[in-house]
Amino acid sequence: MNRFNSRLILILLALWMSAGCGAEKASQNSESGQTAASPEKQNPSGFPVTVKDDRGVEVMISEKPVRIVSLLPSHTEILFAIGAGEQMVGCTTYCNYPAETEQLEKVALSNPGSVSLEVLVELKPDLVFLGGDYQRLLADQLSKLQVPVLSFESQSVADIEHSIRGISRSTGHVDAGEALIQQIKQDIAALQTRVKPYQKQGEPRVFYQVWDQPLMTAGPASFIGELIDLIGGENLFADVEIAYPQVSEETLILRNPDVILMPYVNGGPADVAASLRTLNARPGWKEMNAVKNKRLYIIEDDLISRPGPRVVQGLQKIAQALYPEAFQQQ
Amino acid sequence: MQPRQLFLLWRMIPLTGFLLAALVVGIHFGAVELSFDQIRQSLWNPSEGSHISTILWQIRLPRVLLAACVGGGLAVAGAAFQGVFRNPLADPFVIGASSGAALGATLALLCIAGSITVITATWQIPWLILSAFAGAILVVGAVFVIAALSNAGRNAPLLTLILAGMALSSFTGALVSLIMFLNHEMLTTIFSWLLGSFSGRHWNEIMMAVPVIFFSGGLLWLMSRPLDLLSFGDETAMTLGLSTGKFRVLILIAATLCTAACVAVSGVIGFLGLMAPHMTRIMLGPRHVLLIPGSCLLGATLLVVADTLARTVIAPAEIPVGIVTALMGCPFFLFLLVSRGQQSR
Repeated sequence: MNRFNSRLILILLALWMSAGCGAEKASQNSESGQTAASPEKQNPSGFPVTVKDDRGVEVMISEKPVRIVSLLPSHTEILFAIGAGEQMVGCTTYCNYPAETEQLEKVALSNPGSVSLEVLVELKPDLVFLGGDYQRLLADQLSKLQVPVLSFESQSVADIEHSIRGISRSTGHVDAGEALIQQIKQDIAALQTRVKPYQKQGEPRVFYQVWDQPLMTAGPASFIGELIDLIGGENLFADVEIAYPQVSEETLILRNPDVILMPYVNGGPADVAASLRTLNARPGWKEMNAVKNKRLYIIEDDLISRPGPRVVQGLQKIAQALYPEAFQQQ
Repeated sequence: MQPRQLFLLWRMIPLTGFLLAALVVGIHFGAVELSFDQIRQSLWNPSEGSHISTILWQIRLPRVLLAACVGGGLAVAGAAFQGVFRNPLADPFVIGASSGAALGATLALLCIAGSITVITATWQIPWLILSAFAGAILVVGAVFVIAALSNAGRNAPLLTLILAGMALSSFTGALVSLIMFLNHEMLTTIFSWLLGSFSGRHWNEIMMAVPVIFFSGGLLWLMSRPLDLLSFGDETAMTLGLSTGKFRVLILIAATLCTAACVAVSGVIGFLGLMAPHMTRIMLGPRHVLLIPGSCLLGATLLVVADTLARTVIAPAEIPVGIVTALMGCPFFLFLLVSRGQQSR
């Protein structure tokens, strides 16, 4: 039992830590949304600048940082999107986008909490970006070592805007950051208007299959659930509070999804035909609308699990899956 | 079997009743509500294509039956291990079957998810089950080889078996943890498997596991007499004319086979294999002729009830059944321990 206990603790820790999987959007998260959204507009992109992060810690950045390390893939994508990529020295082994991340020093992050402080400090960062409760301890440790740290949540669509604002202010790219925020907002709104006319016949009922055995889906509390909701899909398990719940196959069959979405992890097989054959072979799945009408779509995991600038691409994939008619005319 | 013992089998009747009741409850309740009328209708004349028929015949019924078989199998294996090792703490996983199966399953999940080998979708589940089974057999086999290699003194082989089993369990457990740590995107999946679940199990899994469980469980029942003698200790058993070594190995192999088949289809369901035999012993006494079928019925009952709870408590979401067995089992088990203590005083 002892062995299982220690394993359990390990796993739970790691679960909390894994970005995007950290289900609970802490209340701290929402209140911080207001704090950072109210920047005391000093001379834009001028330093020194004081930024308050999601821990409520105010960090004074005296000059433009040039040795930035990002410990979240979504923050890395934001940094490159606002043009701060050249100021970076390091990112995590999970940061695989954009291609320029190849040239950065990789901080091994086999598990989000397990970064080696020594390796990190050796990079002599003048600013470290991280996020989430699971990296809280790390943030405090770095602060003690006099390394400037900014923690921004990265779990929801609202967090994207909030993180971009915080990151762009602290790196001297305020204008680019605001432009990116506007761009994302416009793109999302454009997608929404595009599918709007097709929603009259009712929203398609969507089942997002995270895993097949045990059968796991993404609830409305998860980032993916939020995206599905945003683009006008009815989450088949909207009544489940857990972010990534194990769900009842009986209920799935009874509720009868119109569309099934699945993730594929980079390099993984995206063979829709083969996956459809598997679904067909499962008892009771043959009669589902989604399987009957072959409406199974496999979407790249990174696009829909990282609350970063590529959210628009992920959202477009979902929109194309839910409302293919809206994208056919062109 | 002697007539007197056969006569004692009437004491199985209440346990059989419990099991039947549990099966009815398990089939009646689920995430989707079905009335008794609906169930009766679609049980007698299953119509193709109706939701109720599909849910009942393809999903709920196989799941309930599989839970019953796995519960029975784990309980019987637990009873046998406790008898052979003369150790009340022994459970079906004592000599490494669970950690071996866990390692096998984890590697299989990794192969399925990663592109290490391309496995066609239809073969994923059999592949998972076979890997878990192979893992369990491999680790337990290694434990036996180690115990055989160490030519320890008299009475020591049992101790060597347990110690070697513990050591290898920790070793394989660490490997599983390492794999999880390095592939943290797979954490939830592997973790759910480790906690045990009957989610998404169908008739295929029953076809694969149940023959093994029945065969090895039946074999153990046939060996109840040697088990009785072995639980007195080797010397007594030998004085009574039993070739201890041969029977011990046979019993251990049968019990391991049974455990491996259970773990392969359900994941690691803790506490049941420890609890059910002890509860049966409290009710029916220590003789294995009664203890083994009794444990089987009780284990099946408990697991069907636990799985029904796992399916319904937070429906339409589910809880891994291993959590339910431990949460519900421990207090009940402790209550039995305490109340029995008061009776005997």
